[in-house]
Amino acid sequence: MMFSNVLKSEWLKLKHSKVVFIVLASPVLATVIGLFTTMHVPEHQWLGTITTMILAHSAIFLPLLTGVFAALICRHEHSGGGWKQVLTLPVSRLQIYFAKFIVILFLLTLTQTAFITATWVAGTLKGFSDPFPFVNVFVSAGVGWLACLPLIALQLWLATMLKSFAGPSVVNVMLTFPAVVIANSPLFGPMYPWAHPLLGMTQALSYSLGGDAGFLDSAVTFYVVMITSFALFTAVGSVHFQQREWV
Amino acid sequence: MGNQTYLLETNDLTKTYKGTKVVNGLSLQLEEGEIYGFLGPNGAGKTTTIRMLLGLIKPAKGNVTVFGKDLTKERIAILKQIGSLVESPSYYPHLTGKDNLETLRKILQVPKSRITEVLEMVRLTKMADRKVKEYSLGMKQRLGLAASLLGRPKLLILDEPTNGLDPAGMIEIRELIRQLPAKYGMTVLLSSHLLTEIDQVATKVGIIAKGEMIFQDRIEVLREKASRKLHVQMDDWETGQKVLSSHGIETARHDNWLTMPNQPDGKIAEIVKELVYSGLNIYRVSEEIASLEDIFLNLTKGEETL
Repeated sequence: MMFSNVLKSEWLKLKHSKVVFIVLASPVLATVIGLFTTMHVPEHQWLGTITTMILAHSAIFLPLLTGVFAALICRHEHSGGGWKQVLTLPVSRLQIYFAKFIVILFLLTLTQTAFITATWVAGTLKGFSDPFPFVNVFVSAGVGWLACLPLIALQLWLATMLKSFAGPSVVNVMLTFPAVVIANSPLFGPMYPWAHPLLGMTQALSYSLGGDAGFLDSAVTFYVVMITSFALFTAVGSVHFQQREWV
Repeated sequence: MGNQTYLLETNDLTKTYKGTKVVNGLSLQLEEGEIYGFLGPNGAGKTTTIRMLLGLIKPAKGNVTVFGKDLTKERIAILKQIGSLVESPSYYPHLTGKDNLETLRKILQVPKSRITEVLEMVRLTKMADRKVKEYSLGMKQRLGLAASLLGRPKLLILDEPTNGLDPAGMIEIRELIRQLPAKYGMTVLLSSHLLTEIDQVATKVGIIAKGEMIFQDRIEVLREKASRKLHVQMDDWETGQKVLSSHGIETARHDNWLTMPNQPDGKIAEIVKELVYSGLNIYRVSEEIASLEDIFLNLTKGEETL
């Protein structure tokens, strides 16, 4: 069986699910915050607004969103008894797992794209005359996307393991809120995956502008933690999904 | 193992939960074209067995062979030809009935027209474009049945398929299931805790109690297990009892009825003749056949029977 068929099947399940509101929620909120921020960097017209928006988007909403997406993508299998139906289809369990994974990544891509658009909208509404620093915002959104990968892997694991909508979300919320504090620690920030979206997005923006926001003390730690936690959570989650008993 | 090839066969299938064997040494054989009634009280291990047949859970011991292939080794190839409905129906409430089937069709790769066909088969055509959250339990059950038929399976495994249906719906679905082998060449395994459900469609019966298979054969054989009794009503039962006892037949009495184990035709004629010659007035001679329900209850109530 073709993997693309499994993907199409997963995608169809999102119909009427109002997922678009969740995708747009954080970018829209960030736009509002961007419009009203008073932060202004004299040498760069867009920088203050964009930085404020990045902080609002990446500190809390982005990590939370990974959990919401993961829960959403498993929600109807939990409530409607769909697991036993999906898993008796002639496809491997891993295909099901990674189809769900990819749909989450796609939703995250939509969110980040919406966020890039949101920064442009906010600046344009504020009447900025300098050209929109698209590349810088794009790099920031891209690194933010990467920084979400370990969280998605973990959340999908929890969502398929706990077989409930609320369980993984609660775990995610509890681990996300300390992230703002932990991100401020040069030592622990890079080691804490929930702080990664914030660290990644802010650092990537300033780095692409030729500066250093100083959020990231050790880029190496950041990337090592990101890659290893992503690999670990993906491996454990998918193996668990494949091995578990579907009672 | 026998040299006969079965469509589905389990050997010594065992599942243990927390030290208790919920399925114990189950050997189940299903021949092509059969409707196999898998019968047992709630909690006997039917659903656990079915989940093992579908590879949803792994047996602690034993193996499952379907279409001559080992389930652990060729699960996907086997599942390609199985349709199933396990316990409650599975559905996506926010999608229409048609879209629910479409999520499965994309993977099963059957033509779109097949969705119309199966909806027709379960009489759900009118509801096809309504969201499933508006469906009644019976409609969801029909949708589940439609889903199981979607891939034109060779083997259909249905766990309590008439759950939640009203009596008319039950008859309709039973009729549908009954036609499947002849019309579409399907083989069906059907579980139920109600004997009447099985009795009306099954060609073969497997009875499970406390995780063990206690009976497996054609349904006619089950009927023969019925303990038949002969009742004779007469005016003077005391004389009657003496007469019969002199012929080596022990009887029990209730009012002026004498009850004895069933006898062959010739013997019954002889008994009646003797009784009449002894000057008794015979009012009634009747045979009591234990219903299948009685047999089932007898089989499943304890380990002493069989």
